[in-house]
Amino acid sequence: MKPYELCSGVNLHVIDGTKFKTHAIHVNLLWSMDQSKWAASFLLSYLLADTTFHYPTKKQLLEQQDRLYGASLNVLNTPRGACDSLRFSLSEIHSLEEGEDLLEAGFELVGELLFYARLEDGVFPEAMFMECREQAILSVRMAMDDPATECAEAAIRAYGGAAGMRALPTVEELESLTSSQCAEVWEFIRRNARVDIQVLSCESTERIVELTRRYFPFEARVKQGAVICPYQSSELRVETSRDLPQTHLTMLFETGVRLNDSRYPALVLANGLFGGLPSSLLFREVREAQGLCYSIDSALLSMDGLIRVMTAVEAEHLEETITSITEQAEAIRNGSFEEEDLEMTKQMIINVYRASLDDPDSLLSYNYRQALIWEVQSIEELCKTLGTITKQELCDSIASLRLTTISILHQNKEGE
Amino acid sequence: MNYDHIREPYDEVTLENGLKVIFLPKPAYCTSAFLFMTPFGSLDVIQKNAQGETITYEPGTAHFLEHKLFESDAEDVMRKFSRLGANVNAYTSYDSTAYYFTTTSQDVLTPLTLLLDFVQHFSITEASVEKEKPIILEELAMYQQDPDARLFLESMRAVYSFHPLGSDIVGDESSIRAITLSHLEEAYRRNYHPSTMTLIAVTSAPKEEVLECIRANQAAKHRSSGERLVRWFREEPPHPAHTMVRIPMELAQPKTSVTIRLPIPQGSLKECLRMEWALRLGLETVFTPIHPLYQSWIDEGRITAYFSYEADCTPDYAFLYFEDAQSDAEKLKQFVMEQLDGLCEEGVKEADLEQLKRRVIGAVVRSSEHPSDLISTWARAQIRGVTPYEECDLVHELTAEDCTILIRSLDRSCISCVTLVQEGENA
Repeated sequence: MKPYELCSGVNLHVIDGTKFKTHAIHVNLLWSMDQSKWAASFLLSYLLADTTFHYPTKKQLLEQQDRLYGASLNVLNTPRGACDSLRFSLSEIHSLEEGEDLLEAGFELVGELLFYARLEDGVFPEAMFMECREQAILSVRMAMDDPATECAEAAIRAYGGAAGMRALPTVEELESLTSSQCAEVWEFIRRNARVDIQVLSCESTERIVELTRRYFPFEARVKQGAVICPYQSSELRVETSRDLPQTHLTMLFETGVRLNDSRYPALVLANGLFGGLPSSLLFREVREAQGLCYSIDSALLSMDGLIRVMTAVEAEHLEETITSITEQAEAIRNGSFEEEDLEMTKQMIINVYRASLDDPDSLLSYNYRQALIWEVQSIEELCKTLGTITKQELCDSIASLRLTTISILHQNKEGE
Repeated sequence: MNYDHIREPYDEVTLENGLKVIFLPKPAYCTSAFLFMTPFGSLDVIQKNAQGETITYEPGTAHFLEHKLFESDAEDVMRKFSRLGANVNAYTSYDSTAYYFTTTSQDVLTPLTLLLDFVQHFSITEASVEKEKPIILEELAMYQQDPDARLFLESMRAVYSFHPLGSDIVGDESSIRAITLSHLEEAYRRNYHPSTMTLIAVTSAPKEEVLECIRANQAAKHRSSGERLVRWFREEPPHPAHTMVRIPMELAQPKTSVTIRLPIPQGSLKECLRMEWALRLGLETVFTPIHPLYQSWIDEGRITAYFSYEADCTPDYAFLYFEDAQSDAEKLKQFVMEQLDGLCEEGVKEADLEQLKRRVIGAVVRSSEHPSDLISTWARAQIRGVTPYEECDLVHELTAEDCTILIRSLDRSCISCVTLVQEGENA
């Protein structure tokens, strides 16, 4: 469905949620990635989430969420491609009792987070700021304690470009932030970010438009949204070590195809065949046939045009694993796979997309990705396209596949 | 409050061979989800049969079987499902092993038959058992380096002396290496009988068509009555195995847990679940921002924003588990005990409980939104001997007094603390 332009740079997307028992409201704010604002926007997802001007304590906000039967309310920092982004989201069940209007109450609550941040004299209160900063620092430390995350983060930092800028902020970057810097960045975002409001509901479009105008009175802004990342030419191998029982490996492959490319659906299949599905070559060869690892998969970073492979192996099998992964990539590029593999992958990928028709979060996510590249292709249309892709088209989509970055987090146990 | 609004229709049928089938129609959905499970999990290390004979298994046997059942005589099972456009997977928990698939294909009967057939056909070879061991050892290594999983496991090891909660679900290095084909064969023969298994179906396909397919499939596999097996646990000493443990790990952020082992509750599955909810809701009124002083505890540095807790109360184990991103175990223990004392003194407040009951309703509705969530919700509830709606009723009937009485009666004497410390710190 085409979006409604509420004013310049502010769009409303109404998604039919008739078959669901929940409403969902997502407000996505998007602006060009700027390294000087990145750590602050990361911290803003904490500063804006738990309290507001009218609900100045977590207890009060939580009580309001529980009046809405435990509505889930989140603020997430969700950078996408060459853009940074904050997403305000609410999911709540339909009204159960006479006189309840949970949809309007949900709009009111999301509006609170967006338009009534808890600012005093233009800055976040000091105690609240310190608490949120500490919380953000702990979250970064805990995320980096996960070796798979540490290895993947090192890979995208080495790769650079917009992907590198999206790496988690460092503790030092967060420690150096001040409340007034964060308030300034929030003001910038509120006034300048592209706004995409998504409402999944069984209620009429007229009512949703009316509620949106009433509770989300965004002003017009300059249109933006160049989310697709330019080509990166790095070729790096980064190696670190930690006291671990496994060696972790992340490999980034440049595909040359981004989300807005007509070859993208074929690339989705290529990734599925490579490592995106349990029937993939990586799973079948590297795990099942060679027994090198337990977990291995590949993910498509659609805005960057990257395929990211992640696994963990015994140190002695590292080079063998890298070779095997590269061979599987090569096999797909050369078309060294059966037609049956392609058909199977198509069925699986179509199954995944069609299943998202039954899942509010997946529907919203698909809708937003389409909005980001100004496309209006329904899931059914995409499935139809996927069904017609030939082996040659799949090979063409990864014809320029190139290994660009290898990140290794070596296991370093007992003095090795 | 009227819970009837949130109920959806379902059917429960028990076939001649004892297999229980739960059918949940989802007419507006294109996704179908089917789950086939047995109550054989990682806690099944020692079982007793009706004759009082003891059967022992290596830790990790249930999980090993889960991996290997995907192997069939002719072709990898995963590939067969993929060819049908169905996503298949499985998991092993403490108390069950489940195999499931989702599909958006209109033909649900072919993958359903495949699910029933592969789970009910043992065709594992000795060579494949050996081939699987390095893969499972890599899986074990993956869990060992996950700080949260490691902290929880070490906490169970500290508070229990013999209980299988002290082993990872996948087993340990020596048990994984020790498992043989005959171990798996015996475990399979005893624990995969239809009379102890449940099939959960969420689909828009016609009920009779689906049930007929299952009936026909099972008729061909009618087996003699299954063995009655019960889990058996060595008696635990009254004190914890270790009261204070420090584990060095190369971490940026230390973490600490406080675990209170509770006596195994007496009573039916449903009574255990009722106790678990009473504990959970009672603790929720103290250890979350619902409590008026919660923010001051964060401001004073007594806890961080990552403080969390868990209350488990089953016929096999019962404990309260508290965790925080800090390194001072004594401080965290003191905090937990002080708040529990305060809760015993003040009692659970009716208004807080009512607030939480509304939250539970929302959670139940949300968990029924997607077929794959729905099969998991029903599977979990089945293991606890109820339906999700009966669980909701049980929460609805709880009073603040029920919660208070239970919390006041807790024996908090068996307590352990575990800290994952940064390497280099004194372990």
